[in-house]
Amino acid sequence: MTIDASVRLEAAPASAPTWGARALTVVIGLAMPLLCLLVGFSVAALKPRDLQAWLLLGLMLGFTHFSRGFIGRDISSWGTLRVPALVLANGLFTGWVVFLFLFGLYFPEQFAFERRRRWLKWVVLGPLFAFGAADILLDVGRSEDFRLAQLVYPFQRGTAGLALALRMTTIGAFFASLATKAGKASASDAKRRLILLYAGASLSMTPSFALVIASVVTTGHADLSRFPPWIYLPALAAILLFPLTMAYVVVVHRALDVRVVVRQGVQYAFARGGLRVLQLLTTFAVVFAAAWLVVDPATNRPQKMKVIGWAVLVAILVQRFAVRLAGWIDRRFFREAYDAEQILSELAEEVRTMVETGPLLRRVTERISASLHVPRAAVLVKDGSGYRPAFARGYSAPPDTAFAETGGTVRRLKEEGAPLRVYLDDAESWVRRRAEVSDGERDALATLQTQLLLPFAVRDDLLGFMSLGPKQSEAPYSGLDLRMLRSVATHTGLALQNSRLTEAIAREVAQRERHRRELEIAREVQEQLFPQNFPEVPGLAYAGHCRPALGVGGDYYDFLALADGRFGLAIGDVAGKGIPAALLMASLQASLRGQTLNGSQDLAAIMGNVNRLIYDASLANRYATFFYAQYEPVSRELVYVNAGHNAPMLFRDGDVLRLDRGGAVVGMLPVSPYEQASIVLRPGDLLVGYTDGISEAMDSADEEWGEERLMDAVRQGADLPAEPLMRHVFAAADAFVAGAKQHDDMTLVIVRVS
Amino acid sequence: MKGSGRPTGRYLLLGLLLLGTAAYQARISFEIVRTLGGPVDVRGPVTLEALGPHITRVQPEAEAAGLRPGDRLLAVNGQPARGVSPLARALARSRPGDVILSPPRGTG
Repeated sequence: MTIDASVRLEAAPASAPTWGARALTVVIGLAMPLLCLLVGFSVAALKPRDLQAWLLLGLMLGFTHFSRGFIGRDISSWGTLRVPALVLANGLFTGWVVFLFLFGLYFPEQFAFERRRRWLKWVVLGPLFAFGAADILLDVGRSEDFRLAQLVYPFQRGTAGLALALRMTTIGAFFASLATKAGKASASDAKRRLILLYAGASLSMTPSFALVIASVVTTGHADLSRFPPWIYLPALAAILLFPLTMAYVVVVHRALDVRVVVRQGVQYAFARGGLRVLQLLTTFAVVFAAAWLVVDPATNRPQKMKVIGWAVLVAILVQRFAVRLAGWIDRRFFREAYDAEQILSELAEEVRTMVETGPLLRRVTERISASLHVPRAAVLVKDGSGYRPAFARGYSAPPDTAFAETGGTVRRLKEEGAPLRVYLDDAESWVRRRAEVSDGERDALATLQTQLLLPFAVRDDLLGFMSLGPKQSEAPYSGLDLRMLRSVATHTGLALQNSRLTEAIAREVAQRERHRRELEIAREVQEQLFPQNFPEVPGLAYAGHCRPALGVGGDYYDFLALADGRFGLAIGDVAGKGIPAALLMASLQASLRGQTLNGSQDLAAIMGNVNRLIYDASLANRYATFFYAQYEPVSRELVYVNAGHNAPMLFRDGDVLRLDRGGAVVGMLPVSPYEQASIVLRPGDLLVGYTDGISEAMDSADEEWGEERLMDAVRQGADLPAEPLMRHVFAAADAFVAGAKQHDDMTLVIVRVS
Repeated sequence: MKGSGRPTGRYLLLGLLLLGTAAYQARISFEIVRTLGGPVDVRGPVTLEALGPHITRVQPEAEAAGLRPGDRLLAVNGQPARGVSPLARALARSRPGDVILSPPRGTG
């Protein structure tokens, strides 16, 4: 029999909740889920590639499941979306247990056994998922169709104890994992974070955990409401501690950067992505508000549309002013990052104008140190085949390290051409994995406490690099740091190259200046070797001049006042040019002067001795051509020996006689026979001695002036006195070469007999 | 940073997850905020067994309408009541004094 029954509904008894219950509702039902969503989604959005960020998100979502316990009317009274909501609500609970387990397993590093036996975790996860699925079916069935619920019920009832035990064990395993890892952690940072997390998790969950166990032990099922409110309210409120600790550890203690994957540090990611966080917040607020309004049965459709429209508008505006807002946020909230950016971009400008290596490196190191708060930094520059510290600050002793040019570190820096992170304690990092990075280099990096290497390179040339130690804050180097440092490094590289070139040029200039001064001194010395006084010789007028090609030269001429009023005349040409020739010329001069002191008239013997002296004083391939003559004013007899020199010309009555008797060049052979010849000069004779610099003077087309033209020039000026005639001949030669470069020393000696 | 571009797929997943959980949490928050002010709801006139349609307890107003413990709930306001949802929804939309038309009642 079926009947219709019309029930007139009564109001529920007016029993307002206590303030304690209200506070708990606000904290666990409203505040905690919001916080959890915010932290979880922020971290996952900032680090979408990071497994641990997703684990954190899962865990945070899990913690939102508590809010279901605070609603007055169950989800089954909701509208069309109640089934997905029921699935989600149960999923969040299962997810809470699962992600606690996984987080314990993978954070901050996975346990070694997980790497070896990946299937092992499914022993726990499989049943957890099965129990979770049963919960969902039961919950949905109860709401939608009792038959479904009754189908699942036997399984659910049969395994309820097991499910509870497994869930409690899993949560216990989470604590055990954190405790184990905190105990084993070697790095102080990691240890500190784990201990913090462990403490937070314990304080958060132990009270409820204990109550649940007490309840199970006494009544056989978990029901906290059987305890007095003053016990279970604080216990439940304490749960909020876990997401708070988690957020604190992640944001302030940069929990997610313990390992490589997350090295960059969430805190810095927050700083760098200040805008992204804001965008996320706006988006979150918009989505949350829109979702609220959509699900709120009290709001009608046009109102909802209007609100959603506004929300979209706000989202678009945020996007549009993103850049300007980013700058403002950086300045306002992340002053340090902003300042560093400012300082480093100024530095990049500044180094361009610096030309001295020392001050440049000091400046760059100090500014980077100051702006990023890096106490220890060193610059290593190329020095021969390796890189050695050129400037360092913050180390107790100047670091004595070197990196070979062929070593792995330098090669890696050349390959990369960009700031390179160094993780000495990470076995997966290049520093440890690469075979060509030697232990010595690793030691050097450890000595320098390197966390970042900054190459100063111009194209393929690595001029040097900077080693940056850990930041004072222990924060890892962020992507923004790296971008700024890269720009500084580029400019420093160019400046370093400039300064190197400038220094090289300065060195070269200094060296040339020294050479020039030495040459100048040599020239002055050599000038002293040429005749300083011109003895009066009756019936003779003479002049001589040497014009060296390179300041000093190997040409030689001399006028000697000898015993008995005789007059010595010499002209010679040392093979070669410049300083080497000049030295031998000095030797020739000294030898001749020495040999003529005793007044000997045996010119052949004098020449033989000179030959021997020059031979002994010079290298095998050094020699000189040399003409020496002695004139007796009374007899007008000119006795001479010509040792391979261009035969002097004797102009007499339109003819030209050549004084070519003598022997071989001096200095070539240890012993060389010479013969002397003599000729009696007549008034009107004109004797012209010259070196090949004169006769072989060349114009720019490499045509030689030649002896014919020399003779023509002498004949043209035949009426001139000796000195003007000499100048005339030089002028004629100069006119011929027409400014072409003088390639050899030019010497001319003129003797006029009157 | 080297490697692939933006992980679009992951952002998409994140977006969907955000949408779902935010909507759920918003609805929950809505319920909670309503609850904070104290119960403005109607009293449930009957209590059903845990996983079935049978009435275990009746309030006076249900008793007045002729409902008894052990009766089986078949429909609410003409909606067949296969689960608790129809009754829960009907109660959620009601104010004290409203009349809900229950079911042809089954005594079996």
